[in-house]
Formats: sequence, C-alpha cells, structure tokens
Amino acid sequence: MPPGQEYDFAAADELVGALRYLHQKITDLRGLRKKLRDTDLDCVDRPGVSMPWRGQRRNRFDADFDRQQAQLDHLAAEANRVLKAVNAATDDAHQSVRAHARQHIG
Amino acid sequence: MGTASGTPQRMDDYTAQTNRACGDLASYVRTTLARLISTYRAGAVSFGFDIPGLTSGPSPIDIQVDQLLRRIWSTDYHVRTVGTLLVEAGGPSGPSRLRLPGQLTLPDPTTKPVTTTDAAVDAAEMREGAALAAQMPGKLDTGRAARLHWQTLAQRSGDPLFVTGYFNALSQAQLDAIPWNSASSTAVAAAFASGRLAPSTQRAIAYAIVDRYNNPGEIPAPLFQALSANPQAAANFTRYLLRDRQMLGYVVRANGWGDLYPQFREPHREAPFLRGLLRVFTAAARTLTPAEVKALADAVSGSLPSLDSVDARTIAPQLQQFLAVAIARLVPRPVPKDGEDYGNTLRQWAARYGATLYRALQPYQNWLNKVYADDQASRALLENIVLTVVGTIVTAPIGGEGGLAFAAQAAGDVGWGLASSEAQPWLDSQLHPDSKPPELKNYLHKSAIVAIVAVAYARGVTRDGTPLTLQQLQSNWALKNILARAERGDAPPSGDEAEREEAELERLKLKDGGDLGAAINALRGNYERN
Repeated sequence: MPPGQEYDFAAADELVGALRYLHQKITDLRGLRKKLRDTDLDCVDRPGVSMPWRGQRRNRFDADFDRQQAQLDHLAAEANRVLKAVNAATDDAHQSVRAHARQHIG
Repeated sequence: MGTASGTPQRMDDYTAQTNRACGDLASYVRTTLARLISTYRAGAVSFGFDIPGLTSGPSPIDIQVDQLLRRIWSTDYHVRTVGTLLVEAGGPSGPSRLRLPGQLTLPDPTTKPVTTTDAAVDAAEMREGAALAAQMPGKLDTGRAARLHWQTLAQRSGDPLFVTGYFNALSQAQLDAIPWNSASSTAVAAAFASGRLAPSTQRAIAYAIVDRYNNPGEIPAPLFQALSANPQAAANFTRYLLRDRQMLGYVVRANGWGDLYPQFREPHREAPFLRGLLRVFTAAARTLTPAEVKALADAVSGSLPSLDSVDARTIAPQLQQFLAVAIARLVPRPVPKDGEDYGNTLRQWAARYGATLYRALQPYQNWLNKVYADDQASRALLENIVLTVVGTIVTAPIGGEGGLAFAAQAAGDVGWGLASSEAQPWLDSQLHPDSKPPELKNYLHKSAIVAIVAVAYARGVTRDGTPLTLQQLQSNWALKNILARAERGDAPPSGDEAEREEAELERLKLKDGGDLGAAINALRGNYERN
C-alpha cells in the first residue's frame, strides 16, 4: 500500500450497494416505460374501449422512446461494469494491505 | 399530416407514472449516488486506481444517468401535453378555455377516446401559446407574475409550435418590451426553428432587436447565443433576413444610427453586437444552401459599419470563422469517383477554393480600407484573416493526398497574392525548381510550406518589431532543410534535430504566436498520416 494513502473500504461497500441499486432502478424504469407504453399508449389491455395513441407526434415519440430505452440498457450495463471495477479495486487494496502487514510482521 | 387519436386519460396516466419513477430515480442519482461517488473517488484516486466512468472518462456515470433521465422526463411529459391537445383539438368536451400555469388547469383528461387530425393538434398547441401571450404581465423583468410567465415559457420551449403560437400572438410593442433572458431567447430560437413563425412576426422580432440596440443600446447576447446553438433556428432567422434586405442592412450595420448620427454614437458598442450576430451567421452558413451562403457573405461585407481599428480587431476572429465556414460551403471538397484522376480533380478544386476565398475577401478589403486610415494596419488585419483561414485549413486533421492538396493549394493561392514582389522570385524558385517536377505529394507539401512562409513574410512577422528580411529567410538553414525535405519527400526529423530546427526558426522569429510553427508541425503530422 502506498504510504499515507488509505483505501476507504466502507465507502467502497456503500458505493457497490448504490450501484447495484442503480442497476435495478434503471432496469425497473425501462420495464415500467415498456409496460405503460403497451397499456396506456397502445391500450392492448382494453381493446375497443381505449383508443391507442396515434399520429405524427406518436411517431416522433416512438423514435425518442426507442433510443432512450437503448440508452437505459447501455447505462445499466455501465453500472454493472463500474460495480465490478470497484470490487476488483477493493480486492487489490485488501491484498496490498495484507502484504504491507506481512512486511511489518516479518 | 393525417389522423391523430388517443385516450387522453391514459396518456395522462402514462406521464404521471413514468415521470414519478423517473423523478425519484433522478433525485437518488443527484443526491445519494453523487455523494457516494465523490467520497469513494477521492480515496481511490489517491490510492492509484483508475476506473473509467468513475474516476476518469468523459463523464462519470451519475452525470450520464442524470442527463438521460432529464431527456426521458421531458419525452414522457410531452405525452400528457399531447393528451390535452387532443382534447383541445376537438375532443368530446369541445374546445375548453385555456388557463395557464400559476392558475393553470389544463383541460381535464377525458376517459373517452378522441379522434382528430395532426393539423388540428398542431393548431391547438399554437393556440395554447397564444393564450400564454394573452396573459403576458405588464411588468416583465421583476415580480411574481413575470417569473411565472418566463417559467411557463421555459417549460414549453421544447414544444416548437407552442412557442411559435406565443410569438405570433405578440404585438410589436410587446416584442419591443420583452427582455432577452434565457427563457425568451431559447423560445425565440425554437420558434424560428419550427419554420412556422409568421413573416410579420419574424420582422417584428428583428425590428425589436435593432430598436433596442439603438436605444438603450442593448446587446441581445442571450438571444444571439440561443440562435447560434440551434442550427435550424440560425438558418431560418438568416433566411428571413436574406428575404428582407433592408432589415438585414439594419441588423448588420448594428443600427445604422452610428453612421447617420455620429454624435449619438457610443464607441465600442457595435463590436460585441456584431460578434454575436456573426456567430449566428456562422451557425447558419453550415445549413444554408451555397447560393444563400453566397448572398449572405456578400450582404455582410456590403453592410458592415465603420468601426475604429480597435473594434475592427475584436470582430476579426468571428469574421475569420464566418468566412472559413462560408467558403468551405461554397466550394465543397469533391468526392473521388472511379476512374478519374483524383489528384487532378483536387488541384482544380483547390484552385477554385483559393480563388473564391480571394474574391470573398475583396469587399472586406474595401471595408478595412475605410476603417483604417493607415494602409499598413489594414493590410496586416486582412493578412491576419487570411493566415487564420488558411491556418485553420492547414492545421485541420486531414487525411490522404486530398487533404494535403486542400491545405497546400488553398494556402498557395491565397498566400501568393500577399507575398511582396521582392520575395516572390525566391519563393517561386523554391516552389518550381529547374530540376524535374517533384512528385505530386512532395510538391503539395512544399507548396504549403512556401505559401505559409509567403504569408509570414508578407506580414513581416517579428516578435520584437524588427522587419524580417528576405536575406534572413534565404540564409536560414532550418527553412532550407524543411524545403529540401519537402522536395525529396523525406520524413520529418525527430528528437534533437527537430529541436535544433525549431530553435533556428525561433531565432528567425518566424514563430509568430506559434502560427508558423504550428502550421509546419501540422504539416509534419499530415505528412506522417499520408
């Protein structure tokens, strides 16, 4: 471990928890939007009663919507990647601390 | 334009649920996650860890998520807006009376399905904008009513037809009184971008700009900024001015009063106005057709106000930028075709580029002559413009022989006219040696260097005020080496030799603020890429 610099294990744990939560929440939001587009906008749940949203603005909305869903996917994967990188950094720091301790005992 | 239909209540429900989930997540990201990241980051970085998206990279993950959530929020919010518009446009409850934020109750989302047309939906949105315009408070810059008004306009500036309806409904007196804050400026830009502003409204907005510039001397900086940031808006605003030449003249002359009534003229006011306007024109030039760009460049050069030399210098960077963009649009680079001699096509094209730039600069030369009593100073500024335009081309990352040809010929054609007669024979002999013609690539490389030296020489580039003599140029071994290498097509040196060469150029004082050195370095880079 470099002298005078301490890895904050508690902060790492908290951040990993937060990133896991972020991943879940992004996935949830993506799912919610998909479900609501089917029900509220396409009205697949109440055919013949509610009329689906149609028209020029719907087409523009769909283009934005699809792009944003893909971006949500991408950022969920990013959250996972960063989470794994933090875990790897924490492992490295653990080893470095142990090596440092052995040096002193030896 | 076709049929538009939907069930407003369900659209309302969509927005309510998605906006809530999106808002909750956004506030978690902005507070908790942002805090945890910043706590962790400090320790991890000092420990030597690098995690892209957290400790490095273009932007950390919390910022990326936050930006996406903002876009998602407004996309989903728009669904409710469309629902209310469907009702407005001819739903079962008939057109309802619009009330606005603060007291805003939009028409009740109905459970009943609505069928209407896209055109009716658009018209309803414009009526909503008009309704906001009708409620414009008397006091526009302070107070609760004003704040609420601008807030509403800002919320709807993502709805181009809403803001178009808003501005179309304002009177000239109201437009004259509008403060150019970020809400009103962004909205004007969105309205111009929609392409649906009434011609009279476009004229009234331009008139308001000129009128307030005259008195009390307002520079509509936020408005110019909003227009420059929205290419379609900049293009449509400029197109309007091209149709209304009288107004274009007023705007470019930055009032005209200064020329008509010198006693009213406040010094140093036109320059910031013109800088902002030229930024708008530069953004527009990227979108306008070549014919429109040409008309614009001509109109601008024909209408520039007389400025003192200090002010003229401060608008030079924007003029350079405008010309560089305009000329690139006028003489676009040819695309290679099968079976043609592309080198030849490029040479012809580059010559056209140089000629166009030269022609485009003539009216500016006339303007500069008026601005400057001193010939030398006027020449220096023009040359500065040329060097910057050429420098931009030369130092732009370019690939392939075409790129080099571009740089070299354009620089050559323009730089040529500027070299003094004293230096021309020598430069000419460097460029066209008696020996057999060098390969095209070498020739172009060399011609670029010679052109840059020509411009530098014409400017009498020195850092301490002493003139740069032809003899100094001729006897400088570094310059000789550079030219000889270009002739042979040899790779540029590296390490100590490169440093010694640079030191020698430095000694010659050819490095004027880095212009020449940077250009030669860029050429080295381009050589390597070729």
